[in-house]
Amino acid sequence: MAKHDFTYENTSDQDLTLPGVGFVKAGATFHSADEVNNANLKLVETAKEQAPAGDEDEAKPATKPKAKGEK
Amino acid sequence: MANTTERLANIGYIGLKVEATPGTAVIPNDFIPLYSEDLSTMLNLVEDVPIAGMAWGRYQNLQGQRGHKGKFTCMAEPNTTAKLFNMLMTAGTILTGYTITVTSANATIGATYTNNGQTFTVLATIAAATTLFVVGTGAPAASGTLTKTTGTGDATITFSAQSANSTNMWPFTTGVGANSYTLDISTGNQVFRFFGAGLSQISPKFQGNEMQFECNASALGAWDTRQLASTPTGTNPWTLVFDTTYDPAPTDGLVVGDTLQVQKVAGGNINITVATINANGTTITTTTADPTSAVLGDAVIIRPQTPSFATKTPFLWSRSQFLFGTTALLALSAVHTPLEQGVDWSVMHKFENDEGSKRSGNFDPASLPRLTYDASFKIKKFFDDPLDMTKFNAISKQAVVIRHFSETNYELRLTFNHLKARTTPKPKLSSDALAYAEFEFAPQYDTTDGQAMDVKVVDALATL
Repeated sequence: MAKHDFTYENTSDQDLTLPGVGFVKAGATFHSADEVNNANLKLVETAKEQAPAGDEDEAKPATKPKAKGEK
Repeated sequence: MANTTERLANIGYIGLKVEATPGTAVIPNDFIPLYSEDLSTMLNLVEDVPIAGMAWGRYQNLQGQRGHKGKFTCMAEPNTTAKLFNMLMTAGTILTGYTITVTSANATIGATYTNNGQTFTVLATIAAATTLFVVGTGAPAASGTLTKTTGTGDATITFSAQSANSTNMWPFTTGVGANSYTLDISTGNQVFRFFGAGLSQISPKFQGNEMQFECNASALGAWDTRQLASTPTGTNPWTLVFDTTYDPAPTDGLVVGDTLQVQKVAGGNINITVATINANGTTITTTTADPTSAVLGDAVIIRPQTPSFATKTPFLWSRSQFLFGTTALLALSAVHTPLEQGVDWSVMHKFENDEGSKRSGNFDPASLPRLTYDASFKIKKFFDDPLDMTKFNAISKQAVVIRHFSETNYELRLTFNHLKARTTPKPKLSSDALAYAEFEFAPQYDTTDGQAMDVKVVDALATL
């Protein structure tokens, strides 16, 4: 089963707190298993990957804010 | 297909954004924690009861001219406070906060100094101290001398360094007009959008120690649900045409980039994004998904965003101060007068009609013209000062500065330059109770200061 991985950038000039995501500093990017619809965020990448067999029921790791430039 | 599950109100939100052109909707990107709201659209149906040869009265209901208004109660915190007052009053030019390293100096809050062609206002009183917080119209020089122009403090202050800090002061005055905003109210599954919105009143409401704002709002239009007039057509881009029963221009209030959902009566939803809005007011296009399985009569809604918050700690009653004086400048540096819970203020900037101007040729209000400003201020304190009675009897001028603080430097400051006590400070006695003086002031224009009142918000915002 394919899973989608979305990468967003906080394009506002404010540090933001988003329900279900957490704290995202201004200019920072973060990954989310789910699509996030927010006018302050810009979708910068949509990765589509094949999940390992047998993990369909496995919960996707919680979304984790990542500092800008973090790999 | 219609949603059939119960929805918790807390999943919703209120979002807002200032409109570049009043009445032209934008997509909100600021969100305020909300406690309650009742914003709604009044269709104002005309219930027609003619004499028509029968005993049943109401012959027909005709479409009326709409109004969009209501109230909402939200968190009172620095970063969104300035946006709310921007919807009520006239915003001035932002003043930037600077931290200045000075040679041991004295300066009293409210005093003004100049340097580098800019004017700086002292934010906090210092006495023989070396760090001075000011807000200014521009940057001071890297080092030099601050020269006093008004207020109390050293005539000149030598400084060796300065840096802009993260605080800014937004001044609001009782000028003509206020800014127009788009307000999105989400129920968690759908957005109810009000555009061309302004506030006619802001007043605080304290829930225990926490301050909240009660806001009265009106809007020029609303976009909640529209119906498809036909099956969508085309192939990427696809075209959707809306029914015009509600309004001849059913796309008014939509914005390119809005995320919509087509909810099919037959079942199933299609998520689309608005690519273009036709000038005919009835048609949009999308490129994100094929909506051609929808049919005439299917509903289209705005999909909710995931809200984002850039809020600070709310203003607290325990961090509120009431400073009285014979002038506003003296009040600003006066000793705080502790008041009892039950103090109330409000700032009003009335609309001619909360439902707007019902001019010919449109179902929605053509305008939301405003009338005069007014304000109220009521206090409660234990009775121990006969001077209050003499001020009341002599109809003496008083000034007050109300300061609500948050975190280290953030503040909501209201200045009433000239108050007269409207009701007597005489306490009304009751057995087994303290003697409290509860009285109300009537703010008036002060000819010396050239204003009746102003509002200042110190926050972390660079833009409104």
